[in-house]
Amino acid sequence: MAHKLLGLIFILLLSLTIKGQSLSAGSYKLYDIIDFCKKNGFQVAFSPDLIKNQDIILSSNFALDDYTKLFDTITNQTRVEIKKRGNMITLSPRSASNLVSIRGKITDFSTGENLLGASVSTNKAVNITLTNEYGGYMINTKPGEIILKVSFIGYKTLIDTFIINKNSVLNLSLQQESLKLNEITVSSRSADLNLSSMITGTNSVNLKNKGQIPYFLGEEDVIQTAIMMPGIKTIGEDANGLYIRGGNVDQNLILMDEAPIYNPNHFYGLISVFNPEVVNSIDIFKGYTPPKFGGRASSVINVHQRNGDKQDYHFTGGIGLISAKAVLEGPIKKGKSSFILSGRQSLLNRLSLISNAASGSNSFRDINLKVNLTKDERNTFFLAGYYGRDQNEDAFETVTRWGNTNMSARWNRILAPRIVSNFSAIVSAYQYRVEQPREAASFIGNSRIIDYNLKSDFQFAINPTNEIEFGSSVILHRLKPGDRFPFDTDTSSDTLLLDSEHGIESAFYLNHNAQLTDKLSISYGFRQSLFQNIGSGEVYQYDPSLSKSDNTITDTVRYGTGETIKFYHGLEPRLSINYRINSLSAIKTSYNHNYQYLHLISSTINPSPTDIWKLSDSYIKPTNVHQVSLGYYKNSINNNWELFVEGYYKQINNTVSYKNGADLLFNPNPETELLTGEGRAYGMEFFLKRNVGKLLGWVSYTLSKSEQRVLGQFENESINNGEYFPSDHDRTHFLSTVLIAELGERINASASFNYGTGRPITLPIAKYEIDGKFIPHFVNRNQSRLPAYHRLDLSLRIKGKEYNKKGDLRKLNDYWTFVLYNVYARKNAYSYVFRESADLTLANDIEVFSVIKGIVPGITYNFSF
Amino acid sequence: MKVIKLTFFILILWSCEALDLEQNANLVVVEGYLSDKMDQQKVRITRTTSFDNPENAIPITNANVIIQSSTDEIYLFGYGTDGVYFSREPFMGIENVTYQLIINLEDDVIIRSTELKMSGRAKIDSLWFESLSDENTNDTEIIYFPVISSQDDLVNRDFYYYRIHQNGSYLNEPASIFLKEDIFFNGNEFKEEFRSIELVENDTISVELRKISQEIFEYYSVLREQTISISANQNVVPAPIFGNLSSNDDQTVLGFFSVFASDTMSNTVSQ
Repeated sequence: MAHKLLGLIFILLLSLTIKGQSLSAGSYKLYDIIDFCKKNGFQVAFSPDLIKNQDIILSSNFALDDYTKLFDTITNQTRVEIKKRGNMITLSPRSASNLVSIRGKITDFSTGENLLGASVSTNKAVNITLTNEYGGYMINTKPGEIILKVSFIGYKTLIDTFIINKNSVLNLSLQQESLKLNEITVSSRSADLNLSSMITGTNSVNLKNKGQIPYFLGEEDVIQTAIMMPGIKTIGEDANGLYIRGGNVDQNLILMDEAPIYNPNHFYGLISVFNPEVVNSIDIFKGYTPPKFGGRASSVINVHQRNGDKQDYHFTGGIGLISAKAVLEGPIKKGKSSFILSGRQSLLNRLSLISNAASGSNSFRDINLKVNLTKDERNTFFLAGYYGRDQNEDAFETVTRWGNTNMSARWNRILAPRIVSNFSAIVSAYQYRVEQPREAASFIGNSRIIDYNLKSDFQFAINPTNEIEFGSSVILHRLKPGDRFPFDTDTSSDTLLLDSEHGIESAFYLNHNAQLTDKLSISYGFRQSLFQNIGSGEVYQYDPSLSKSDNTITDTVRYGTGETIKFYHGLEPRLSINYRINSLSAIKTSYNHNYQYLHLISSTINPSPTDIWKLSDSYIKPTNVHQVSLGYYKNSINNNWELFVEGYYKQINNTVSYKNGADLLFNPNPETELLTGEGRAYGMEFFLKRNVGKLLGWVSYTLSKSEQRVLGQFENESINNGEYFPSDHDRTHFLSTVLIAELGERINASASFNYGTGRPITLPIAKYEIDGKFIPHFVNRNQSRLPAYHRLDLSLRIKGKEYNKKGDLRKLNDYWTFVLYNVYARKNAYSYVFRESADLTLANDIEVFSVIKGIVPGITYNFSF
Repeated sequence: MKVIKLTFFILILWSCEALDLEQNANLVVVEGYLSDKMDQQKVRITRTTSFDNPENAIPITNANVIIQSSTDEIYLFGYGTDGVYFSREPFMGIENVTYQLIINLEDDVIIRSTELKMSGRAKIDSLWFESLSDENTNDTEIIYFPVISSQDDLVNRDFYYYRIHQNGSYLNEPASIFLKEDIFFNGNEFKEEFRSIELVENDTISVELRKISQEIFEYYSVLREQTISISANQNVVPAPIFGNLSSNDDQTVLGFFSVFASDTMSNTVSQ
């Protein structure tokens, strides 16, 4: 009886509370709130079958004017959707598929730097999302209480609970873990990314803990790190370019903050153009190329620069035998915008560094600048620029300068809760200049390529298991193959201006990422590329019955400005499948087809900085590649060990080759020197890494074959009788091992050992004499090999003290690195030189040419405050 | 410690490797020259040898050699020594007349060159010396290098090859293949500096300028690229060097037949 009385009193009190113009804080039934609305003049429509009488807790008083807040409160606590039109309120159940999206940025807690590739997951979403190249993420999840997990290598994992009932913005910061020495910073970024990522054949390089592995002369370098990964090779020390899964150096799309880089090297390949102090992250797509990337046939190397600290000013510097570098960064508007400015200058002559030879000189310098501005949570702007130059002066006073210049402006906008967009305008250039003052026809020559690129990318998260990416791009290529001017008024040289080349390369793409089941995810899409080689320009016509040469030109066709000279297009399907066998292993497979309309024309084994780029035209067809990959990925419990085995097969069509003795410099009709071929590459990659412990490291091994075939139209144009022969960069076995040991709190030591099958070479099968000169006679290309390459390097890194004598944290962070490169002084053969013996009664000398001839010690000092 | 020492010892041993060359060619090599100077013209016919042979060439002594002109003249050659055949009578190439070299070897093997036209006159206008100004050298001896000047012909595309003797010795190093084409200075007076040749006082230099055909120029270009000392960067891929000769048995014939106009000038370095 007492209970009934108490109940009656409660109902009376409640009815008194809701009869007025406001609702007091407290616990209510939904229908009571509906009654309150009705009593205050609203018409309410709902079905009691679908809308149950649920508990609602009001944490504060609500006036009727605050109906929006009231409805939000109900929506947040129930699965009821409320719509108000005039006086009518409609309540409907939110469907089970109704999801909320969470978006935001993941940044470094202390600097505000965007963290790229951090993994974001919730207990209610099936898949894991990675932050994009702007640190942004978007994840769709079921509403209610969610547990959000954010992780990134080198940072403390964030696990927090949130109540999310509507689309929300969550900007989160991760705190750095103290700089552990026993931490691998190469390869994947979050612990099980190698399993969860849908993409095959990807290497991510993170340089967070610098100086960890032995670098040449102690100079940290992203490319040196990359070549310790499976499937990525160079043809030797001091050699330009990377060969990825059998592709040529020009088949890598190298992007620095979306701007293409045409020559990624300084010092003829000794180090890369990427200043490690400003690099945020590097992704190397060597297996599957997401459809947003295109224009190169083999791979993508995507480099993101840091944005700079949004909270405080910092100065970072370093000095070593190769270069001195300085970086200044800080906020422009605290918390909103920042800048980062860096520069590097070489210190010693490259030749004296590598071979103690001092004829001629080399130097380089580069500058990076990046500014970003966060206008509001929807709009972020970026401006980035790079300027780099190398200079070489030889013993004959010929000075060659070359380098990349680029600038990119980007606008990153969140269009809608589930749609992120990015708009970019990019100018990218590569040029070289040769000054030859002492020759008979002394001259100044220059050549350049400039790209003007506009692009847009959109990312639409449909639901937790489906995401669509789409976008478009248009590039205007302007190429100056070569201008040659008299050096001075005394020279006998004439002016020669080769015709400029113009091309418009455009593309659009669509990609669907889908989580089909808990175990099976798929990414599929396409890229449609179109290319027009446009005038003005002249196209020489050749006698079809004869090999192309100056003497077989029959006619010249002139095209006006903007007139299409040749049109090509290609559909580029892309597919990647990930089957997660269990929480510790996965199988991935992929297929892609890529087109390339821009070619590096080179007649040397290793590309030269003065090689020219050439557009596809009437005679040079676009290179295209088909690649399939299949890999097995396995991690140990807690991801302490990581392993993968991946196989690939790549078919390369329409490769550009060259005739024997081709002369390509300042050549008005290079097609007379070029041949079309094809290639194939296949191999197996193995990678085993230990991620934690006092002794850690990795083993990377690649078993591969890369071959090419040039079957000319005429008999004398075929190379090796039209049979397949090994590519210059074919190296059957390639092994890299790295061991890192923690010797103390501030000291770590590392060792790396590299082994590779010698690259193919062409050896003479006889000799003869012409005009008193001894001539080796070569026949078929690349039928022999150099001896195997192997090298052991050691390094020691000593970090400065973290605390001063008073026990205060020092503002200065610094460390020394000491490196011994080529510890057992092996003279790895780069090539052979065949000379006539000084003693004419003896056989000829065969001299091994080595770039590094002994132990090379190195030391660097790096600091920041 | 012993293990480390042993490991290093093995690694250092591993650093040394020998090269084995497969030697299986026995090809005919022809060097034929016809100048615009009245002289006994010469053709050298040899065979290739293996690398382990101290000799670079094996002479072929029993060939029949003729040069045939577009004016239906035939010049006979006789064997001299070391594979060299000399024309039986002195003769010279005539401007705008084409010539072909024909060689009969045993077993009815016939080697023919392409037909080559004798170019216009070649002329060196002057030969002098310039000194290398090297501030870093405290050496009191001044180093000179030779320079020539010449006038290019405006009408034709010209290709030049220089043969140089220093103190009577022919410079036969691959780096001493000096070549020039007039694509960038057609019709102009031009200079050629031979900065790689170092001369001191009283040294004598003799420069022969040959105006050669395009195909022989290209032959020499490839020859130079492939035989010059290889640097650390950007060496070309070696390949067979084909001249302008072919054989009726489809065997590769190495070498060339060159028809050229020439001029020679000498000078001695003096203070």
